Amino acid sequence: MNAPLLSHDFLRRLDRLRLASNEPARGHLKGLHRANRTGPGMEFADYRPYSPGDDLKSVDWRTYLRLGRLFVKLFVEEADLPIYIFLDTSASMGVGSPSKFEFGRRIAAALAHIGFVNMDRVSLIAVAEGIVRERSHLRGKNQSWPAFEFLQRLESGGNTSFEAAFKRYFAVPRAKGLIVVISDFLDPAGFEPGLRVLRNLRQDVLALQLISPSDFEPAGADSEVVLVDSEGNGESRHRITPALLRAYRQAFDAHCAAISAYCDRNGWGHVRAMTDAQIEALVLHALRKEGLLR
Amino acid sequence: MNFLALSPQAAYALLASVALLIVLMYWLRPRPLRVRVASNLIWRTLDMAQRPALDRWRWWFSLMLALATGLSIALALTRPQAPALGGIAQRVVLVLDNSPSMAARGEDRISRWEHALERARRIISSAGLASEVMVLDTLGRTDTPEWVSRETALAKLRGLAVRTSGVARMPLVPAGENIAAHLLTDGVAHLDVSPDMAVESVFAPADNIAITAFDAKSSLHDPTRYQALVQVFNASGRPKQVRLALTGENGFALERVLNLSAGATINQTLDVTDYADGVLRAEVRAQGDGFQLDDVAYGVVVPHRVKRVLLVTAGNRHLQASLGRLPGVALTVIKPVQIRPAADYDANVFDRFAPPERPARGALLFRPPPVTWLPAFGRTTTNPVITRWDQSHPLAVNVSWRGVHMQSAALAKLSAHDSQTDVVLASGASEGVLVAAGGAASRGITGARWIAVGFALDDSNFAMQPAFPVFLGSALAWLTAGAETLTHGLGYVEMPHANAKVTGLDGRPVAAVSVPGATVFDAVRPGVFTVASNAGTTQVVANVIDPQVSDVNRSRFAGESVAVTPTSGLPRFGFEPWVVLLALAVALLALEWLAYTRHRTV
Repeated sequence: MNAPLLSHDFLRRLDRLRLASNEPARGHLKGLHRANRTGPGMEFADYRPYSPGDDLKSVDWRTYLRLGRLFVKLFVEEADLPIYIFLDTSASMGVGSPSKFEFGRRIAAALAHIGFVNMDRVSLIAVAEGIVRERSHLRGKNQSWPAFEFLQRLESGGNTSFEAAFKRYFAVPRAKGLIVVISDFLDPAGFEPGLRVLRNLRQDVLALQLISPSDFEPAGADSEVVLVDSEGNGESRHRITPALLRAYRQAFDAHCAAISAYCDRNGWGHVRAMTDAQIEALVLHALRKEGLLR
Repeated sequence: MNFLALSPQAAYALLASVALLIVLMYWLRPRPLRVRVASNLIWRTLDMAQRPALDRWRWWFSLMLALATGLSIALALTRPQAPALGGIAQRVVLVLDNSPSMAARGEDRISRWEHALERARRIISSAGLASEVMVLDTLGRTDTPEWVSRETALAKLRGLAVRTSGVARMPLVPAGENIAAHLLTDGVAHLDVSPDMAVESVFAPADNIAITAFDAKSSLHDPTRYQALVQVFNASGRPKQVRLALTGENGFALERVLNLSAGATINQTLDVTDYADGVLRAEVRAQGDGFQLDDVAYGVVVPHRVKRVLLVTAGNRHLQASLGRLPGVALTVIKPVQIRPAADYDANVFDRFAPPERPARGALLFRPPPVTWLPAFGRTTTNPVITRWDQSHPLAVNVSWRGVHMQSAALAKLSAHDSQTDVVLASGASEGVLVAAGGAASRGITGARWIAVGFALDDSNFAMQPAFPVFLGSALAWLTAGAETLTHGLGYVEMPHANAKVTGLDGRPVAAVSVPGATVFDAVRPGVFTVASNAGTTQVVANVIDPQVSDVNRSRFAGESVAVTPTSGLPRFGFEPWVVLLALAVALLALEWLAYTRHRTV
């Protein structure tokens, strides 16, 4: 039996959180997120003239006494939020200690649990070159453990191709919701083709970029090394010098900045997370601070 | 290219091996560390920016640097010889003529020896840096011949000097293909020069006024008169006015001015009767004299007053007449019964008599009776014949014993003790001693000299011989002589006195070496040396007195001009090629380190 992804105490603390989306909820089931339509709800939205067939319980009698006409009170409908959590399970995620894959799996579990607590429909999709495995439309608090089990059975491997994975997943109509992409975004084709698919779908996206310390400083400093791509995309021979390392870090920062800029341009959330950080701190503080969790 | 440490084949094999080893090491160098990274995505962007396909060039650059470094070190180990670097190594033999004439100075006031040294230094400098040099001299004053480095050879040159004595001889010069032999000489000394040897002349004409003969002696006619004979030689190529000065102790001085034409010799006889006794110094001075060694000569003037001689005889007409006719002799004749011990005479002559005690002054005895202080002339023989005598003894000079006949004579038998201290002048056919002489400490008794003749004048024809007055004169001179005086040339003087002390004119000790039975010292300058030992005191007068030495312009190079020409082919660098190569290797290593740390090399 694998160790639990999240501690019980941490799960209890997650119960009080809710994922925030920039878009109104488009779910068809009752939930805790404001939808862009009126219907049963607690929050007043508007009045409209009574029409035959309307529920008399929704008639505002006070207005009738004052105006002598029948008006019906409209409320904002509270719907569930479809949450699509894409976890990158490519080989590159398995590099580092702790590995980005392990870290991402725990974040995915935490976000899924938050979704379940808030009666959201959570879909867990493991992607690499395509869809590796998926568990869609889970809803309800009792789905946490099946979701965790699903995540624990995942293994890292294969190449990365977000474009293929997203196109494949959204080839069938999906309700608009919140797309959480947990990845290192080291797609050989670049991060943009994949994210461009999501942008075209006009989805709300939260990009969680995971960074391992080894991504910053590979082993073999000041020596001749052959850097072997974990996804089999060739080798490159370098003498890791301070100057080269500096240039690499600058390039890596530029890579991260490009992702961040891309997300900002599209109004998406972007969080960079180091895998040697505490996941509790990331979820409870960093994501809340960014407004991604409430 | 030549290699000193290895044969050319071995050297090239070493270089090829090193090159091969380096190339193999580059090919077989440990594989770089393989590091698994998440993605090469970003590294590839760096590749495009920072590695413009220079890896191969860097590899070749590294290989070239390593090859250059390795080959430099390997080449240095072979000790290569390249004219462009340190010259060609060779073996150079330098023979320097250090005979006395090399001290002569020409018009430039630089001696031939100094010219030779300068020429020798240039030859050494022009040789390859790894050359070996053998320094020899014509008087054999250098150490054991050996091949030494250039620096050691220069140090050896500094230790060489012109000798004032000795006969110059060509030393044994090694021959070989790679041996260059040079003889630096003024051409005065006669040297057997090999045809392979390069003879370099350092001859320059020099003015020289020399004393070529000097003696001070009493007049034959009157021993109370003393004369100094000085021969002055003008070895210059031009006439000279010479100032001749004789000086002695107590302010004695005589001076003459002489005019000598070129090559002329003049004899001067000067009366030095007024100089009672002591060292007499002769010196010549002339303008521009370039050779000082022969400008001074020394002599010793012995006392030359009238000798008071006591003849003790019962009656000997021939002896009395002969003694009375000797010049400078005041004779007193007494009978044996009249003898008094305290009588003050310079010498005694005893005829058929001998005092029981050894006299305080010298004694000549004819047929002496047996006494303790003389060898025993006991065994009488008839008609003895003198077969041999010591012709080197002063008493035997100009005296022939061959015509002396005698009716009877007493032969002395010298003991071993006597043979050590006494001088045998003549001996008979029956192997006995007829005439003997003793020194100051003969037979263990200290006293004056003595001469004992084993026959009486009445029993022989010796008194009728023409040499008899000469013998008497020599005998009286020997008996009254002070310290023995020997004349000698410059150079090593061997005196037959063990553990003797040698002092110069100034009284300072002169370095001397005691050898078994003798003492040897080096008379490097003219002077008078006193050799004192238990056996007595001897004065050694050392002079040049050799026209061959003084004739410093008698050179085979006479008429040729001396010119110290700069030699060509001086080394370009001050170091041997292997040093340059090692320095290059160090520089290449530094370059490699810089390139490696700056990631220009792999």
